[in-house]
Amino acid sequence: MIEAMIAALANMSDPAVIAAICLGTLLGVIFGVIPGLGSVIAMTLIMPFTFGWDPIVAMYVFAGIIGTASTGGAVPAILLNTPGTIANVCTTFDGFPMTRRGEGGRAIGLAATASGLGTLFSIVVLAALLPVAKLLILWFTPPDFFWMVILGLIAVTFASRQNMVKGLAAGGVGILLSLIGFSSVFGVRRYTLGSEYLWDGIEIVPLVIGFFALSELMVYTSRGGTIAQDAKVNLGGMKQILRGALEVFQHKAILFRGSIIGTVIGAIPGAGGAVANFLSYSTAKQASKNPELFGTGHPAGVVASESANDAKDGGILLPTLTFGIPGNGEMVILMAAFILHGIQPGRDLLVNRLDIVWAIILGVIGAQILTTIVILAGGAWLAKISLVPVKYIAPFVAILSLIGVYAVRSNIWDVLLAIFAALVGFFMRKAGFPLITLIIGFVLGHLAEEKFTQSLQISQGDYSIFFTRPVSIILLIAIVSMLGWSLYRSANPARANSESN
Amino acid sequence: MSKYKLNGINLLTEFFLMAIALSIVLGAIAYEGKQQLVAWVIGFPTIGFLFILIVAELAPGLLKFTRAFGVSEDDAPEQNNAAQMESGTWRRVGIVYGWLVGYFISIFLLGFYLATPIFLIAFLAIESKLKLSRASSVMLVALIPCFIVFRLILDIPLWPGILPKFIPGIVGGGSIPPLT
Repeated sequence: MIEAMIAALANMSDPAVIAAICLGTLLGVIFGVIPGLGSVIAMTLIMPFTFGWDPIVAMYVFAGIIGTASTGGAVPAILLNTPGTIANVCTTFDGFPMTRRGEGGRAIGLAATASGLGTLFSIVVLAALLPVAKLLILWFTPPDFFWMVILGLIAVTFASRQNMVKGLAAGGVGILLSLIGFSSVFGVRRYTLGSEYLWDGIEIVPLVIGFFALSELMVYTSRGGTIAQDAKVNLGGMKQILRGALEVFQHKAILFRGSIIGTVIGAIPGAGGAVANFLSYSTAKQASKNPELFGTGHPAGVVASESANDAKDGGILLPTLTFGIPGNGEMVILMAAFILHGIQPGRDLLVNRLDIVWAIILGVIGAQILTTIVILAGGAWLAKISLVPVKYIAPFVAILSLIGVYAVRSNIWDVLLAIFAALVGFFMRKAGFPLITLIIGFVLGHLAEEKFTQSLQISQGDYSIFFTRPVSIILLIAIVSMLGWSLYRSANPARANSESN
Repeated sequence: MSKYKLNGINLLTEFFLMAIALSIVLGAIAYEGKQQLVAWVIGFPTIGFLFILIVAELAPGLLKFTRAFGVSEDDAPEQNNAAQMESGTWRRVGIVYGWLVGYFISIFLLGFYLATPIFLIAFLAIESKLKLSRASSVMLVALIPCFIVFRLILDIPLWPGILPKFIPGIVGGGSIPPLT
C-alpha cells in the first residue's frame, strides 16, 4: 500500500501526468461551469481519446475531471444564480445574494476554499479506509460478489428515489445486453444473431456516448437558448477573494460537518453530491444560532454547501474502487474507462493495481488544488463561459463524440450504434427510466455472470450457496430491506414521505 | 378521474425494452446448461417488471394493485406530464436528431475530414444563425487545432468515407467492416 503510494507520488513529477491533471482540470472546470453539461459528459467525451494511452496517465485525466466539476459549478451558482451542476444548487441560496451585495469575490473565495478542503478531507478518509477495505474484500466469495452486484443496482435505484420498477427493469436489460457476444466464462459467442459486429459484444464506448453525451445534447439543443441568464458579474477585487478564502476557517464546525456529510453520503450508491449538498445546508441552518441569516447571503451557507458537494468525491470512489460498484454517472464512466483500459474494477484493482487507485486519489487532490487556484484567480472570466448558448456548443459535442466513438476501434458501425443509443437514451429519459442503472447493469453484467457460475461450480450445482454464507446473508438482508421499504413507500406514500422528511 | 390519455413514449420505451429482454431470454433456449442461467435468472424478473409497467400504462384502473410493486400513481398516464412534450419541442428533437443522422450519413460517404467542416458550417449557419463567413471562420479556428491534435499529434486514423480513393487516408477508399 505504502509502496504504491510512494510510486504514485513519484509519478506526479512526470510531465505526461502533469499534463493529464491539467487537461482533466481544464475539462472539469469548463464542463462544470457550463450548466447542463457537467463531469459525466466531460468524462464521456474524453474517454475514447485516452484509448492507447498509459492507463495511469488516463486515470489522472478522469481524476482531474471528477475532482473539479462541482467546484467549477459553484462559479455560475454564485455569480449568475445558476448552478453549474445539480450539486451546486444550495450554493445559489447564499452565494448569489452575496454577489448582489457586491461580495461575489468573497463568495468565490469561500466556495473555492471550502471545496478544496472538503475534497482533501474525503480523500484522506478514502486513503485511510483502503487498507480496511482491502482486508474486507478478501472475505468476499463469488456468491457474495453476485449479491453485491444486485445490491449495487437496487441501491442506485432506491437512493435516487426514481421509480423502483423502472430502475430494476433498466438494470436487468443492462445485464441482459452484457451477455451478448463472446463469453469468457464459457468460451462461446452468444446472442449475436449471426452478426459479426456483435462477436465481441456491444461496445461500451458508443453505448455510453450515445446515452450520456448525445441524448443529453438532444435534450438541451431542443430546449435552446442559454441556461444561465446574464447578470452583472461583480467580484469586488482580489482582496475580497482572499478575504473569503481565509474566512472559511471561521466556520470550522460547518466545514468539518459538511465534509463528513459529503463523504458519508457520497459512499452511498445513488445518493451523490446533490443529496449531500442539501443535507449539509439544512443541517448547518438547523444548527445555527442565526438560521434566519441563511438564504440572505450568509457565508456559512456557501461553506456548508460547497464543502459537502466536493467531499462526496472521496466517498463515492470508495464503493467503486473497492467493490466495483459505481454509485453515480461519473463512476459509471470511470468503470467504463477501466474496462476500456483492460482494468478489472473491484477486488483485482485493490489487490493488484494499487498504482491505478493511487493515481486516482492523487489526481483528485492535484486537480482540486489546481482548480481552487484557477477559480480564485479567474472566477469572473469563468462565469462568462456559462453564457455561451448551447446552439454553439452542440455541434462540437456531436463532432467530438462521434470522432471519439470511431477512434476506439476504427469501426464506422460504432458511430451508427452511438446515434441509435442516443435515440434510445432520449426516449428512456423521457419515459423515466434511469440510464445509469442500465449502464451499471451492462458494466457489471459480466461480473455477475462470472460470479454466479463460479458459485455454482464451487457448490457443484447447489443453489443454497447463495443463501448460506455470512456476507451473502448480510447483503440479502440489505436487498430485502431496500425492496421492502420501497414497497412500503409505494403503498403508503404520505406516511413514508413524512418519515423520510 | 381525469380523461384517460395514453402515454405513448412510456409505452413505446417499455415495449422496446421488453423486446430486448424477451429476445435474450428466448434466445437462451438455444444454449445449453449453465449458459442459460443468468439470462433466465435476470431475464424473467426483468420481463415481469416491464409487464407490470405496461399493464399500469394500458390500464390505469389497475394502479391500486400495481402500486404495491413500486409503480406509483405519478406514473399513471393521465397524470404523467413529464413525457408529454409540446409538439414544437418534438419538432426540435426531430431536427436535432436529423442533424446527427445527417452527419453520420455524410461521414459514411465523405469521411470525417470532409463531412465535419461541412456539418459544422451548416449547423452554425442554419441552427445557430451565424453568417456564413463567420461560421466558416469558427470552423477553421475550431477544426485546425483538432486536426493538429487528432491527426498529427495523437495520430488517430479517421474514417475516409466510401467514395473512391481520392487522397489516401484522408478522403475516399474506406472499406466497410462486416456487419453480418
